[in-house]
Amino acid sequence: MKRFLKSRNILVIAIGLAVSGAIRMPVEQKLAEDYRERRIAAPKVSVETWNQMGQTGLAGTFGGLRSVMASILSLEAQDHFSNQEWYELKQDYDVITSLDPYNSFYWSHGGWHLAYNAASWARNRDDLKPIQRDTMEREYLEAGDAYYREGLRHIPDAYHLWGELGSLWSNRFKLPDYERALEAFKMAASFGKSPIYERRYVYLLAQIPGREIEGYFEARKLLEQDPSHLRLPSFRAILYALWTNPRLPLSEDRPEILKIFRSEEEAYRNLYNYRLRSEEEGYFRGSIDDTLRILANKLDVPPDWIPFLVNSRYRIPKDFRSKRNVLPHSRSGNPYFQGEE
Amino acid sequence: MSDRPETSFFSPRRAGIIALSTVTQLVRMKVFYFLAPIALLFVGLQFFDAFWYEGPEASQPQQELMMHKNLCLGTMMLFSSLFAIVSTALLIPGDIEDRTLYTILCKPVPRLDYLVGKLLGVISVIFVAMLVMDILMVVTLNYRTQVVSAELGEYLGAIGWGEEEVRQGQAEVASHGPSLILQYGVLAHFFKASIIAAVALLISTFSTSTLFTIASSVMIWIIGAVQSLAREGLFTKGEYGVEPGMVDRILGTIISLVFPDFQLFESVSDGAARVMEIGMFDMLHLGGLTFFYIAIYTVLSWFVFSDKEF
Repeated sequence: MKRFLKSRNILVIAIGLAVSGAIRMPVEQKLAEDYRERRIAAPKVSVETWNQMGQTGLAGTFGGLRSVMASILSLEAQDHFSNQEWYELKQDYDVITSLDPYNSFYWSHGGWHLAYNAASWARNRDDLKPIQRDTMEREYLEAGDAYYREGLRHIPDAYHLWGELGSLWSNRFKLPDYERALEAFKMAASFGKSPIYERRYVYLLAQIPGREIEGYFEARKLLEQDPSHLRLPSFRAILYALWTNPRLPLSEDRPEILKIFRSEEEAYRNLYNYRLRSEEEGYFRGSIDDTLRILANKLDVPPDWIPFLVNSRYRIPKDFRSKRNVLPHSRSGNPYFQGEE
Repeated sequence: MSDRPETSFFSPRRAGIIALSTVTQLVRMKVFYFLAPIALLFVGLQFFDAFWYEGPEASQPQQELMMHKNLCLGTMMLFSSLFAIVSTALLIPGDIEDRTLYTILCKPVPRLDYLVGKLLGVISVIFVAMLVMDILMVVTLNYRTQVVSAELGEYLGAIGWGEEEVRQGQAEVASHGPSLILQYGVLAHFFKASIIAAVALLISTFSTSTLFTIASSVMIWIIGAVQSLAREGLFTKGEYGVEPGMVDRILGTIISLVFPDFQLFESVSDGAARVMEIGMFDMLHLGGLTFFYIAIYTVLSWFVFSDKEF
């Protein structure tokens, strides 16, 4: 009798669970899909990533502890970075981003490791032939790019990931791809959350030969939207340089220095520094040399700070007209990143 | 004909009395002492620069708060789930051992009342424990939000941001502080713990040892966390568009039908920590699902328990 009761109980429990399971299963599936669509639930984890997770995966399945696990794993990834083990590092970040897919930091950091650190490591591999080095570097750059984009797929409003993509492809020490960079900066700017990316879009246009007129109109548009952009020396100088483009339509009036800069001294300083940057970074120079000549005469600028007389690579000091401010040592090739501005 | 008044099928009053005595029984087991280390953890974390607060992943102020919320919610989830399993597993064997069960069942108390009362007692204790942990979390989170907001204001002011921009930044930080959405996350964990208690109750009705009940319930808890993988295999195509094989389908169906899905509750809690848009309707859905689970497990428990001989 006892055995019969036991078997009967098991059978009833099994039937009860099966029937209730059949009722709730479609409801749960619908809820799960709804949560995933609304980004409440984490996206599906690929089989490959599950395999990589190992025991961490089990801990990762418990909500709440995922981000802490991701944080701990990111320490492990740091070890792989120190040992330049890029494959392992990527695997770590695959797991980290699966555990905490809505934390943009990990996508950003994973992309940065691949596109900057791993790519630079590849470039410096003297044991490889140049073509192998280039291929490897490009592969890492693309892997970093893919990482940023995957992050954006998970967190479409992480506009700074677009910004990082823009920085990557406009980086002149890497393998610049201006079209990609422009697209990325435009996307970052389109969120309207950070004026930095709106300006970077204009700055980049000023760096690409043939796109200067477009850059000018974009800069004017920004200025109309928010005149506070003028508080930035780079923006002032780039706007001025783009405005002095002789190929601008005649309908565009010539710029007035004091409409852009607060004083002629400031104009001289900003344009002087911008000229240095344009030599290094290929910014459009327009007719700023003419303006600098006129201002140098007008302001009685010491010869040390006239770029046509002394080929200095130093940034100009604030009180450049003071006699105390002579070049630290003559005509050296020291970097110009010095002083305030 | 007997003069004895007929015992009703189910009496909420009787179940309530048993629930109350279960609460007393659990309190006497000093279960709330467990809250002391949790309080120490939550409060203590405010004084240590734990790496997830200070590390680069917390470089954005709201990330730091999210880390804190995740840690608190994770601790609450672990505590409530483990507590639900262990306390429920101990109750019926405990009643048999100290013979309370005979005293109760020899009176006109239907077994359903006994089971519902026991379950309600456990759920009430879990509720009180989670309420205390929730208050601790809200207090510490509020403190941390204020610290982070002040630091952010100071920093943004120092780099020349305008007052309006600083205010916006601080509002963004404040949105990650204590909120109703966060309470939904706590509620999701409470729902989950209640289901786990009902599962443990079902197992304890036919199990012959406490150890078996605890081990089986823990297994179900773990399987419940990944059950959704099996179910999704039935409803969606595989990763490379490959349909699952027959064996996978059968296994997936069995797992999906038999085991509860806890991932939904985890998702809501995770989403609450990230301040996603979780509304009252979502909680009603989850609440309905919880009620369904508890009802099924209780009915099945009652079925097994109804003709159990002691």
